[in-house]
Amino acid sequence: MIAKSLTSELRALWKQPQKWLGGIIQWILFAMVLSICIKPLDNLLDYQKAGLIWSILVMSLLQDVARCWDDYSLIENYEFYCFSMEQSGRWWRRRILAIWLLHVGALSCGIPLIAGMIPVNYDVAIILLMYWLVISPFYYLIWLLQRIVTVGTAFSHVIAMGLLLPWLIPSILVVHASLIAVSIGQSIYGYMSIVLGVSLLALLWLPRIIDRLLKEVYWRHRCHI
Amino acid sequence: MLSLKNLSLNWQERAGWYQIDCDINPGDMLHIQGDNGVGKSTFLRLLAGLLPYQGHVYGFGETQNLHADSWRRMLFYMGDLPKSWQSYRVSDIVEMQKLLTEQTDLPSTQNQLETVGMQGTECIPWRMLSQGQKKKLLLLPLQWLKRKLWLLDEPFASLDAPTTTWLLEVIKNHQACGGMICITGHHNLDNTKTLELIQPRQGEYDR
Repeated sequence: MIAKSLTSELRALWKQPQKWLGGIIQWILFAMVLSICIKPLDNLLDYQKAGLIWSILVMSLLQDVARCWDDYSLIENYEFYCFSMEQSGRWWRRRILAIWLLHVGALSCGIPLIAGMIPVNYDVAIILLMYWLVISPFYYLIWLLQRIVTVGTAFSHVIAMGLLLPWLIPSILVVHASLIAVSIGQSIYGYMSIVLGVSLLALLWLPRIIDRLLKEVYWRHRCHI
Repeated sequence: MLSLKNLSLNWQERAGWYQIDCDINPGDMLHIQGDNGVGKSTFLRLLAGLLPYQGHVYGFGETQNLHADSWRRMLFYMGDLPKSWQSYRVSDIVEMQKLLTEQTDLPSTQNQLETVGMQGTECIPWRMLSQGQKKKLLLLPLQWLKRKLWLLDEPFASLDAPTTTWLLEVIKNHQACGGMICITGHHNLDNTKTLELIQPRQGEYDR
């Protein structure tokens, strides 16, 4: 049942590439522009290049979450799925999982491409991909949370960025520190454990917070007769 | 029988709006009427358990918690035309509606569409459909969904004559089976109870 509904969600998203491919394309375009603008690229160390790739990856890809959940889709889907036989909240979990899977698929092809464009060692590229796999569930959930908080508000994108930065900056710094550690031959398991812990905590708590908040936001949205 | 006792909205400064007392017997159709903007659609959402409420609803042998899944699974709610389904195809929507039930013996998508004269539209996206076609699609589950209470927000708006006849027939069958219906809109309907909503901002209603 879960596999079937996930497959149909993936199929539905596949037919609407504007909702999940925009971030990937934006990321590749940014990388191309940077590879042209920063000359000579050899002046940058490997970890600096990797940090560059990581930062634009985070900023670009997460915008797809906003594209997938506009104000109407949050409110209308909440309403529709309230009456379905599914467990409540499964609809958004299914969609976020589908986007995540599509992004991971696209990134598996994209990171080697970018690693060729802004030349970094392939080991570093693989570490980047590993970090993305571990921390991205946290990113996607926190981004969805801020989308819900800002439903129906003016300047929602500005507010969203304000809400996200306190979460994004530390994570970017941890990844950056980890890349430095790689470049000087230190182990990254400590950093990886921190990231994994944050991600697991997010997976445990954020879905509950999102469920609760979604109901409140729906009420706020619909009670203004 | 369904009995609403002082059913009101319970949201911030709008707490206490509506205060509806009314009974709906098996086979009844409650026609909720009122001017534009008085809150007919919101009242349907309230009864559907989508909004915070105060008051009580007794029915089906017990006091109902309108926010419980068990209540929501006893009713079918049709609200506004969704704006976020623009790129969904007709067949995707029919598939989605199957999530409303665990029945496995549903008519095929083609058969369902044929009953409302929409055969051959499976691949057309939602955004290309007329208002009437969109409404027909939302009403499709009424053919097979076995739920006791239907909450229909302006179901006759934009429908063509054959579909209106079809819908009236489906409603009649539902009533004959002891089902209950709450409906909003300005269509003239026979044999209905009327609930007239007026001036919700002052909390006054004429029944």
